[in-house]
Amino acid sequence: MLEELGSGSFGTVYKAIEKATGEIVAVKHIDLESTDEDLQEVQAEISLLSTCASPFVTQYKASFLRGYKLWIVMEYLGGGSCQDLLKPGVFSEAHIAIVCQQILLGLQYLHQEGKLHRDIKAANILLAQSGKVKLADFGVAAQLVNIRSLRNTFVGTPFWMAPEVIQQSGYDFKADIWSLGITAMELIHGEPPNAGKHPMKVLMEIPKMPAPRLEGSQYSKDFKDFVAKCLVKDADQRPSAKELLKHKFIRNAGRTEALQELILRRQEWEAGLEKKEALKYYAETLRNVRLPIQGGEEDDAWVFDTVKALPTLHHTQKRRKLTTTEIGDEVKAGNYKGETMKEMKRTQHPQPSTMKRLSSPLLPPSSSSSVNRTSTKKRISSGQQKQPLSVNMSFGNSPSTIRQFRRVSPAAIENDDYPKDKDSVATPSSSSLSPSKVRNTAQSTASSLSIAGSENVSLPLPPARHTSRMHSQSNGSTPDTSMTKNTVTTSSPPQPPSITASRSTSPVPVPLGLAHYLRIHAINPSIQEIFTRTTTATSGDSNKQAVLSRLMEAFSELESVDPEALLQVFSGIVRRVGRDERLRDLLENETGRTSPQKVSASGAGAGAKLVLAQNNPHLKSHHRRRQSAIVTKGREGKVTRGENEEEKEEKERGNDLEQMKDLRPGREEESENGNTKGMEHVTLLGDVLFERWCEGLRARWSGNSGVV
Amino acid sequence: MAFLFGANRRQKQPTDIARSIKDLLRRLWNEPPSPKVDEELGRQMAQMKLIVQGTPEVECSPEQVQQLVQCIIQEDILFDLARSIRKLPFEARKDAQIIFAHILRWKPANGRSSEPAISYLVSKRPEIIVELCRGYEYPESALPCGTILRQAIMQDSITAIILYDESKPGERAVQISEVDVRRQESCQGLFWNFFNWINKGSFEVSADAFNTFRDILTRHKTMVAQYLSTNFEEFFSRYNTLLIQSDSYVTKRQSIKLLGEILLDRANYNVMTAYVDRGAHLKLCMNLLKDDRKMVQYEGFHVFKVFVANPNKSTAVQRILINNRDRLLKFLPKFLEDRTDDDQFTDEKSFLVRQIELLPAEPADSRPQAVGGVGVGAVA
Repeated sequence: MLEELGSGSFGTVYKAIEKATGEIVAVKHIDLESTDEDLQEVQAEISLLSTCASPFVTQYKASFLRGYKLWIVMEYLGGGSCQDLLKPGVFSEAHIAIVCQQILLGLQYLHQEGKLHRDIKAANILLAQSGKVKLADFGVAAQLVNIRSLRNTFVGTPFWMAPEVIQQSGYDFKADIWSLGITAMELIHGEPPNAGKHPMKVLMEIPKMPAPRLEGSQYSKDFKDFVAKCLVKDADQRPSAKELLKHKFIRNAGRTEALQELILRRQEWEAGLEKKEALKYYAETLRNVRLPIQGGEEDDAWVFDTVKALPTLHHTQKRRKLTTTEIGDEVKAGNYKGETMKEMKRTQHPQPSTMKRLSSPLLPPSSSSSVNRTSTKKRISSGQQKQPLSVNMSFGNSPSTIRQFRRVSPAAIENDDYPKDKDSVATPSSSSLSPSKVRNTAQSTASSLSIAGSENVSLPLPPARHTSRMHSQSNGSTPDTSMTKNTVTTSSPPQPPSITASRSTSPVPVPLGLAHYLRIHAINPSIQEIFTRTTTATSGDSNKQAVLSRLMEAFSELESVDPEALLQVFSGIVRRVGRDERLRDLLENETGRTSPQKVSASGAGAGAKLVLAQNNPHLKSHHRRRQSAIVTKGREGKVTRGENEEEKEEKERGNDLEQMKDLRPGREEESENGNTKGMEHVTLLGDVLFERWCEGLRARWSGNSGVV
Repeated sequence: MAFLFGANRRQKQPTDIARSIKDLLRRLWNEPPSPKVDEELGRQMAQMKLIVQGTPEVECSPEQVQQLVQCIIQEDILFDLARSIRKLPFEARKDAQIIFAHILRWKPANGRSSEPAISYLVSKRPEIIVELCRGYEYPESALPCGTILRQAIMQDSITAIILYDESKPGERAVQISEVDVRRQESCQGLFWNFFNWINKGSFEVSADAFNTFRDILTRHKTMVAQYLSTNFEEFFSRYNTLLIQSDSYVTKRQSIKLLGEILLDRANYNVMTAYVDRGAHLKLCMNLLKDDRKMVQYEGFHVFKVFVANPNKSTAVQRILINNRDRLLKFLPKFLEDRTDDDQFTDEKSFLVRQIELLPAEPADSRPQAVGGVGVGAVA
């Protein structure tokens, strides 16, 4: 396994070297556990691929099972997808002619075989280093039993879908030709027609509106005619792949070697970008890493929600739930490296590829708005991905491949307004709603803060609570509902007070994205978890729910008004928790332990009895243990080091870097004092390790990029 | 079709193609393999495919297909083809699959009853089906053979051949007119090989074999219900050990799902009652609920619910449930609780909780005296 390449309709793709032959291959990992639908879907893709042998189609090599992951080994194409190649700029007509010619040859082969690709678009056209063009991603392809039979299934990607597919009136090979026409326009314009519109709207429009046309004197007549021929709305009048191969535009196409220019262009472009971005990235790291770690779930957020997120949205829910169980295996398998690598890459190139995989929450909005999509939209989709309750809202918000619609539970629809609340954060329209509300809640509960503190009822730290869920899930044990219910009442109040408390303390600016990240990944899930639980477990304490959703609204509101304050709130909470005597005792007990196994075992035991389980140390140490495992893996490639030294090393480094932390803006001195040591120690450790790990990856990655 | 029978190659009749294919198929087995044979065979197969399938532009001609089918049946070409699939070149394998598909489906234009190829298969050459199943032995032939089989299985007579054939390689295969459905199988026959094919080999082969296996068991319900009742013991002992406890995640998950489907099928009522009578089966199933993979848990639930919902639980099953009542009542409410969007699941779960709450303190013999409803095999 070398590195992450991208994600297809089913899973993530890695570059790898086949040991036996030394050949470079692409390996697609499909997480079978997260495909709720029949495994037959996956099987269909494999059997389709395995019966393809054409120079114009990515060659399937083998597939095998590793636990619940299916690995599909395929030919590696070093040139990247046409979508990647579009990043530095649009293609010239000459290049498009070659690409289209090659696609047509591929389609001719497929159609001859009675296969429909059904998802032709730039992202699914791959180039070999040599410039050879191949069709890829047969995730929704179909095999016709009878060469003349029609299909009805509604699949594809909205912008590229032929009218007859959308109307579901039966379609055949000609649907691929339409998509090719759209792809040609995508290559010349950089995006498909109507890309600015909502996909759902586009779906409605394609059958009604006249077919898009290429216009303008800058394009040649032949090219315009070719596009027009592909985009004939009546499928019967649309030419076949074979006929189009005789089209003048195609006949005059050059040799595929010419496409190497595109590959080179992208490499140069990337090299330039890398330099710039790397610098910027470095400056940001210091501040950046802190909060995710406090959140105690950056594993979750980093590796699985963004990287592994399926473009097919109806799967995202399942994904989210499974993340925790996957982490362990991932780390063991050593795949972690690859995945995070991609994350790094992504942070550095927030370009259209990001769009496809839904946006990364870590990106500051400012850097991600380079695509035609507004940052607002992106934030919505990234947020929704985390929402257990939002089901169909996000449909079509990414230009992803649609498979089928899924039955939506009435309960989920009922709760649909809930995620909407959150969405409204991004839209300024609702921003006048509730500053007062925040204050109100704050005041009404201000007293409960001190009470809560002195009684040593957990001052629950939402991120940590989230971890607790993760923890219990990954152990396969059952989370204690009653325990969580207790915290419902106690957990929500203490947070707003600290808003007021800490808002005044720190005027230091914090990156906007960070606050957003915090909210999306730490606060919302935690609140939502309780929210769902109230809905499902008890038959709905509507009052409680209302309060909860108000609370969440308040956080969103706060974020949009004053992101720093939001961060302050949480650093405040963390600090207070650290200062509490009994809590601290617990923390120190935990840090005294060295064996990870022991920690987790005892931790699990304690979790069942202690009310403090939510924000408590054993989760932290569990988290830390994972963290260290990751670091070990991450480092193996570069620095060789005995694994048993890890623990010690962590501690040393934690102390070393206490000073570094002082330099960090937005942090209070007190959090460093002896009292809070247990807590801070842990946070710091994670922090430092994380940073080192980032550095390692960065070094590795830049090394690799030369090879690619 | 003009290009097919164009200038230099004087029009070749379908019968000519069929005969030359037959000849080539024989030569295919000669040692050492000859690339020339491969090449020529590939060409001829492609031609034959065009005859049965036509092209997107040109319809195939019914007369030609008729000629071809008759000739193929007369010359017994399908048998040679079936056993040679793994020796064919890559493209020819797919052609073989398409040719099979069309020929099996083909009916004469005058619309008289059944497909000639099927009746030929069933009465004269069941060995062809046997050969196709044995295609699973080889990675090269597994997928094309599987595809052909799944199409053929749509005919109940073909399914019967697979279920009841006990011939050894080289022997004559079963004649379904001679099958006694009440007699227990030796469990060495063709069908039982599927357990092995599913459990070994690559992912593709095993998954494809499972698909065929599933089709065999679900397509013709009454026939299969009879078969399962008769061979209850052996079938489920293999099913439980080889499939449900398979090391392969995919096999495991799919077989639990299939088990649920089989048990919940009305036609399999007798099989179901016999199955849920066993304490051992319940234990197996309860372990699935605790599996470390969620989807396995989920599929396991759909089997588990049958045990609990059964109004006439056996003493053994009652005892297990009662002994675990507290645990179950604690476990179930939290079982896969993040499946919030699955209403049916949530409903069923709360139903099960109620049922378990209502269990008596001691196992009671609530069932009627006569056990007539239970499957023949289970009683025996």
